[in-house]
Amino acid sequence: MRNYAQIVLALVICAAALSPFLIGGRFTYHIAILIGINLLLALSLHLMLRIGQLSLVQAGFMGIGAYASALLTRDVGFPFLLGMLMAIAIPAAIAFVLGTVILKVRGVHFALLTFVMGEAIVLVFVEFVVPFGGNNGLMRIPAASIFGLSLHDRPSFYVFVLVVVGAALLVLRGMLHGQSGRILDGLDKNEALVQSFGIDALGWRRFVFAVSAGIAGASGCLYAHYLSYISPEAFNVITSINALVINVVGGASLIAGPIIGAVLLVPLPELFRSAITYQQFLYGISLLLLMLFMPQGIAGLLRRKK
Amino acid sequence: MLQQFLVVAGLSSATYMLTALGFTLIFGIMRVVNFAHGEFLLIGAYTVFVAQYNLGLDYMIALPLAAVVAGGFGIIAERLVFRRFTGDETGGMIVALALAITIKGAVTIIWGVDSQPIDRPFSGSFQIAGAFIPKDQLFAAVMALVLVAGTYWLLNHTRLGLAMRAVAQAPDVARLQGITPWKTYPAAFAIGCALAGFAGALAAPIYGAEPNMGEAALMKAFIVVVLGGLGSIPGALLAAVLLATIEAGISILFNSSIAALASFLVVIVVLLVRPAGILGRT
Amino acid sequence: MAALTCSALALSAGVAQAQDVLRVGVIGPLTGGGAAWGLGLDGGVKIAAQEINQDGGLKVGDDTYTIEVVSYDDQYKAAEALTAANRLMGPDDVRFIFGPIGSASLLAIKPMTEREGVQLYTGAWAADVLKDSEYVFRVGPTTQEFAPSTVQWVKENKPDVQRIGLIAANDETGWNSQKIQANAYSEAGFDVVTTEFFERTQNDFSAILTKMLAQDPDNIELDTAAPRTAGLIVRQARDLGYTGSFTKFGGFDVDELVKAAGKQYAEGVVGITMAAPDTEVWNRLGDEFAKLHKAEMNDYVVMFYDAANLVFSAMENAGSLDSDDVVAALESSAPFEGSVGTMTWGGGEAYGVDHQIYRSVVMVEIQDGAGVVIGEAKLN
Repeated sequence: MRNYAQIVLALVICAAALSPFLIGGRFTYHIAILIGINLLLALSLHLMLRIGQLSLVQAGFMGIGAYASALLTRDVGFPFLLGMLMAIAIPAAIAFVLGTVILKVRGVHFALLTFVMGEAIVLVFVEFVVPFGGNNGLMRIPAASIFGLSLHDRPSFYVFVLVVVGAALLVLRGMLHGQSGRILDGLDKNEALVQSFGIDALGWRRFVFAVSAGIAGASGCLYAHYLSYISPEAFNVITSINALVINVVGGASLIAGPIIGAVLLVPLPELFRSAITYQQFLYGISLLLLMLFMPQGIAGLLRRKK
Repeated sequence: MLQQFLVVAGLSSATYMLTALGFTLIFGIMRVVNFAHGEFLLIGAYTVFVAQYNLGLDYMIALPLAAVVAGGFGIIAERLVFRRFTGDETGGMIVALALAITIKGAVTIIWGVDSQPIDRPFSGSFQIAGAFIPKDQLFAAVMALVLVAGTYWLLNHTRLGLAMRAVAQAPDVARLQGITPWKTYPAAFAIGCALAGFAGALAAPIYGAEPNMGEAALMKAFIVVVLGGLGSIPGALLAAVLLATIEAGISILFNSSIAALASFLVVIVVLLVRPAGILGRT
Repeated sequence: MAALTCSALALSAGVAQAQDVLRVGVIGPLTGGGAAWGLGLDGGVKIAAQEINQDGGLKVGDDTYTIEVVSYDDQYKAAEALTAANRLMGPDDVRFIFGPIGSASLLAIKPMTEREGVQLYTGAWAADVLKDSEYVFRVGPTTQEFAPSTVQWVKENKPDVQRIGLIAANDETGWNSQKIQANAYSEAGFDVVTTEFFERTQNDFSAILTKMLAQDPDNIELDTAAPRTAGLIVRQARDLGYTGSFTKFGGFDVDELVKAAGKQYAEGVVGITMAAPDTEVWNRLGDEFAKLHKAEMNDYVVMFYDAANLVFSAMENAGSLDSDDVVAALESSAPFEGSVGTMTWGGGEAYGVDHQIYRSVVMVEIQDGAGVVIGEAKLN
């Protein structure tokens, strides 16, 4: 029964991922790409939620990835893939180093600490006009290309986004299942027990934090090279909170949660876009109703029915 | 310039205190990080606007009215929305965010995006020892200090205050003592929101009322409360003074974005040493 | 999935309606900070479109079109502007876009619109807006055009002023404009004694002003500060004991400024605007604007009303909706009679392309809470 539901869910998700190719049109691809980019950020946050630490600095890591890749490809002349590698490696390294200190903080205090750190990262982008361009941001970021093959048109960039999302999902699956899955679960529920097995709990947390920062960095890299323009406010704490909303609305306890959340919530403002005066209000109301009537998220609903 | 620096720091300390007070009170008692706190300031400010322009009331009457209206909205929000999320910090945060977007959207629909003018009860400034003290800001600061003192008295010298503190410290023990958290929560939420309403109503004559005013206020309240210690009122007061002083000083010496960056760095350093904030409980 | 189906529906609906309807787009900040400008932009374009529709529609070659305005909110954010542009250029099938107003928004969508020959009629101020572009037109003058003339006005009319303080927003618009202002003031023989930047979300300027006033300026130039922000600065500076004058050469909105500053504080502030308030044109457009939006009338309504009329008449002159034909017709349609004076194209020297509009700009002084025209600024 469980397998059956999983297969159906996987098929639905695959169909959704492939549907832009059937529907076609630039706007469809645009939305699909945005879903992919937001999903990556949501997945990076999801990983941290699974070890019981709500990290609101993820958008900051996304920003670090975006700026790193943009500056390295545009001004230093790195090829896109190398830029992307750095966009993953730099935030991951920063998270690895910072993790030693900040991961000791738990609960709501960790959320608040990372909230403030996220805002501080944005202020660094604003304040240091060289090299980050201040509030004006960075322009003319080169389009993505792999070994001379340009990903400039939307369908091919979307394929690339799918590949990156797929890779991130595999990483998450690998970490959340089997031996390491049990350790991560233990970190969330009973850290003392994990330590009693002689496992270096802080080391594992640091590893998870670094991987999540790397995924956020990849998201930032895709964002930068897709828009060809970045500015600091795109990476503020609101973006992290949106990623959290995606997780909670989708269901934060299952890996399918952020996927469902992203597919549903990223296009949501588009539905209200023609009612300009009411769009903010309608978005707020829908979110409120979703939270009130599906507190476990949509994936939670699926699980309960089984 | 030193005198003026002291004036600027002093006036903003008082404003930050009041803005942060309701926020930290609600967290302390209900464990809800109220991301809609700024929107309750918004409700306060727009109440003053409606009271002045549609009802023709004087500012001094509009001011308490704003607190009542914001407090009333607070009770409704507690009953319909927040009660289900007591203890669920993440869920509470998101539902508060949704509420904030909804309130801001509703205000935009009703009054539009422009800033609304508020008649000022005071204008001009006192000149003391070479420093200028704007009368309207001084009034807001004095009122803020009075309200802070009043809240402190309420918490420490009334039955309701005792019940709130008991629920904040140990809800289960409080229940054994015959205090029902379900009855204390609406009161706490109403007081927290009424304080936000006051803060909005006091800011309105100085800065006008506009739909986005809540965001900046929330951010200030948030930083103050995180630095002082979530739920700790003395912590919030101390942090308000500390942040206002750092901000004013660095803004005058360098510029405002370096000031913002510096205050964030101070908060990060403090949190790393004391995760619960300066006076927070771990 | 549901959303994807929806956009598919929107797509097919777009195809079905395309006949006899000409869709033009609007991208601007319709909510949040800067919404006063965005709504002005939206209102100006919509009023122009309504008038043409009521007169029987837009005649292009042998066809007559009803104009439909499709507006999207970019919240002053680049990413939102890009989403809006994708939507306009995709399912909405729009080739002519009014806006954006934010420089970041414009620079984010420009590569895409340029590549596909989609036209932008923008109000964004950054210098890069017009550079290396074929299909971007700026429909309002910027500091680059008017600073020499406005500074000259200060020289002639305020003989006591020698020390200048400059304050502007901390972004490309503010940096660029403040640099031009500082040069213009210095060249005219003034001493620029203090230059400051503030964040667009800032409400409290007491610290910045304390620093500025310590340099004892005679005149504070409010540059591109949003009108409400400018009003708050004026009021707070006065409360801190500032007795000098204020000029606001860069986006002026008397009502908003007076509202934020208070009547007695706003007295004597001089600024420039693209249309004098309380004239017949202003009131006529103001009445129409009030039917569209819950916002104060401002000169962006006039600016984009004129811009829309200019574009629509160029389409009629071109006899075609082909992008290059319309560009050619637009370029050759100057001088054009706008609602408050003649408009021409220029800017080749500064931007490499003559896509900068030149239109009359009036100097307005706030007297007793209302704007009084005191002269006209010549554009450079």
